Amino acid sequence: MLELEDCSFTYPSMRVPAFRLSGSVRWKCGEVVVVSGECGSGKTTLAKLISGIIPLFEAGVFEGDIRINGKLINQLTPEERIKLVGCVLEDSDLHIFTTSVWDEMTLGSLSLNKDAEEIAGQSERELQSWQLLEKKEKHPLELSGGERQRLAIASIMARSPKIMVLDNPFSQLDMRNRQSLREKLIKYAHGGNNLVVLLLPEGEQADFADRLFSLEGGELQPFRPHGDVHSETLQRSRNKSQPESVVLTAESLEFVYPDNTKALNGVNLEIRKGTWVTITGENGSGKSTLLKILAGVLQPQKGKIWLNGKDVKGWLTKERARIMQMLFQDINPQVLCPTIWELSILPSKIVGQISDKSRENNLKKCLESSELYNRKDSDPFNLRISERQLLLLISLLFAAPLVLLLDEPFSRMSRREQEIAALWLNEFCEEGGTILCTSHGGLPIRWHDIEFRMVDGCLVETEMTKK
Amino acid sequence: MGCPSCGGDFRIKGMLFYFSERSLLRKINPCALLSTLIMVNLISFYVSRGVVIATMVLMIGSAWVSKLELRTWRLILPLMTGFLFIITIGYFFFSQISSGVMLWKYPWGDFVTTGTFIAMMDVALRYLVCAMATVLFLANVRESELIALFQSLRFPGLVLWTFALIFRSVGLLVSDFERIIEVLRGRGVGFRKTSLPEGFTLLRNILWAFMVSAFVRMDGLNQTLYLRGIRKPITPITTRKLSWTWLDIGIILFNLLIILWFLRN
Repeated sequence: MLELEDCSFTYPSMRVPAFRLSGSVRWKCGEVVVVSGECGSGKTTLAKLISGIIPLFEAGVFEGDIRINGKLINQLTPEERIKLVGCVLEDSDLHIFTTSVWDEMTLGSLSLNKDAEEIAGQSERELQSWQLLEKKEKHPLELSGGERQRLAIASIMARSPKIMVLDNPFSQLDMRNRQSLREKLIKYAHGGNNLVVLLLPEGEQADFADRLFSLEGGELQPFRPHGDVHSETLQRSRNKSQPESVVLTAESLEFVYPDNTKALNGVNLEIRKGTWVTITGENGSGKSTLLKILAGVLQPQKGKIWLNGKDVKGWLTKERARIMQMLFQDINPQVLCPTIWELSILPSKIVGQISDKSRENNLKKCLESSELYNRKDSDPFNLRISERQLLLLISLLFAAPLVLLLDEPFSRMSRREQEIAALWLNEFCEEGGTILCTSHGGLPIRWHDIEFRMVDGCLVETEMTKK
Repeated sequence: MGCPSCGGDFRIKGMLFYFSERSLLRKINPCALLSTLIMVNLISFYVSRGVVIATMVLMIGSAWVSKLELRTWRLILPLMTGFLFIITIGYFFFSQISSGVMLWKYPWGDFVTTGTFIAMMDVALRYLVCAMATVLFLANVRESELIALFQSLRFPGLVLWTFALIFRSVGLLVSDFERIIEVLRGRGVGFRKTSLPEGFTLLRNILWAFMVSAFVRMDGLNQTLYLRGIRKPITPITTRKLSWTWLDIGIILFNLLIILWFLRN
C-alpha cells in the first residue's frame, strides 16, 4: 500500500537530510505502524512527505521513491493524493479554518461530493463519538487543547482516507482520551482495512502497534527499545523538617464562561513556599482556567486569592507578575520578540527586574544547555515547537518570580528536553520558588511534591497527596 | 446555572463578538438583517436629523432585544472614538461652512463658524448610526451564516471563497490578537498605566507577535485546505441552511421599497 525505498529529503537550510531511509519498507492496509523518535528526528518531515505537503508547500531536495498503491507519489495529482492520504500535523491549532466546531467538522467532507444532509448526519455521529457534539457551536479556539486536537483528528478521519498519518496525536490528550484514540485508530485500521501511520515521541506507549520503527537522526530503522521514559537523575526530597510559609491561597474560586460552561466550582488551594504542585485532570476539566485566574488573566466571579498572605484584589498587573509568572499552553501567542535573546529577557524587562551578571550567566547557561545560545539572534519561530516551549520556560525563570504557573509545560517536549526542564524547575523549588503545574497525563511522581486532580471544576486530593 | 456576567444567558462566540442565542434578532434571517443594514447605511445620510435620531433610538432598542453586552460596545469604542476624532479634525481645520457666526479663519483659507459645530455633530451622528447598525448586524450573524446566505443567493464560487477567506481569517486573527493580549497581561503588562516609551515597546511586541501569527496562520490555512481536500473555488463552503419566514420576506420587501424610493428621489 505505502512503500518507501532508498529515499531522503533535505531542507534548503540544512546540509544533512532531515529524513532518510536506506533500503525499503512496505506498510500494508489494515496495519497500525508506529514510528517513534526524539524531537527533530524527522517525524514531521516524514508526515509531510507522505501527505504531499512536501514538495507542494515546502521546498527541498527529495531523492528516492515513495509509492502509494504501487504508483509513484509524484505521479499522483494533489487531488488524487489527498483523497488517499489524511494527515494531522502536530500543531493542530494552525489547521483551524472556521469559527465553529460544526463548520470545522463538516469542512473536510464537503470535497467528497456528498449530499449536505448526509454530511450533516455523519458529522453529528462523529462529533458524538469524539464527545464534542455538545460543543458544536463553540469557536474552536475556545476549546481546551485536547478538545482541539480531537477535533483536528476527527475532521480528517471523517473523510475516510485509506492512509491516515498522525504526527504526535496524543500530545494534548488526557489518559482516557488517549486510550479512546488508540482504540479508534486500531478499529480504523483493522476494521476498515486502512493504514494508520503514527509518528510518536520516544517513550510514548506503542504496544498496540502492528509494526514498530525508530527514527534516529533522520534515519528510519527497525524499532530499538529504550529504557525508562525518564531517567533517575531527578529525585525530589519531600521530607522537609520545617513547614514553609504559605505563598499562594485560593478560596472558593468560581468561574463560568460566557457560553455557560462552568469551569471552576469552588476551588480551594493552599500552596507552601518551595513546593511543586501538579494538577492533573481530563481535557476541559478547568486546569488552564484555574491558572489563568491565579495569574490575573481571567477574573473569577466568586472567590478570593492571596499572595504572600495579601489579598490580590486591586493589585496592579505588574505587581502580581513580579511574584507570579505563567507559561501558557498555546505557544505561538507567547512569541513576542523577533530574536531568541530578546524573548528570553522580555518577562523580566516587563516587571522591571534588574539584571545582574550572575543572573545573566545563569540565563546563558540555560540557553547553552538547551542548545539555544548559539542561535540567540535568530527568530524564535525557526525553532521547533518544543524548543520554543523550553525557551519560554527559560524566560520565565529569568524573571525570578516566587510562583511559576505552568500550563502543560512538558506536553510537546522530548524526553531529553523534559529532563532538562525538570532539573531547572527542581533547582527553582530548592531555591524557594513554588510551582503550580498542570498535566493531563500526569508527571513522574519523583518530580513533584503534591498532586491534585481536577474533577468537574473542583480540586480533589490524589492518593499521593493523601500519603 | 447561567453565566453571572451576562445574566444567566447562553452566549456563543461569533466572528468578532459574543452573541446571545436568546436574541430576538437571531430569529430573523441574515438576508433580512443584511438588507436592513444596507438600508440604514444608505438612508442615514439623506434623511432629516429627526429621523436619524429616531433610527438611533431604534438601534438602542434593537441592541436591548438582542441582549448585546455592554462590553461589545466597549470593544468598538476605540474605533468609534478614532473615527469621530478624524471627523472633528476634518471639520475644524479643513471646512468652509458659511452658515452661522464666523469664529475664526485659518491662513490656508478654511474657517470655523457656529454652523461648523452643528454640521460636525450632524455628520458624527449619522456615522454613529451606521456604526451601530453594523455592530448590531455583526453581533447577530455568524460568518458561516453569511457564507450560507451568499451560497443560497448563488454567488459565483470565486466571490464566495473570497468572502469566506476574509470573514474566517478576520475571526481567527481577532482570536489570535486576544490571546496575545492575554499573554501580555499574564507577563505583567497593565495596559492602562503604561508610560510612552513602555507603550512603544509594547506596541512593537504586539505587532511582531500579531504579524508573525498572521503569517503562520495564513501558511497553515493553505495546508489545511489542501489536507481537507478543498479545491478553491469549486468546493462548496458550508453545510448550513437558512430558514425563511414571512416576516423575513416582509422585512426585505420593506427595505427594498425604502431603498428604491430614496434612489428615485
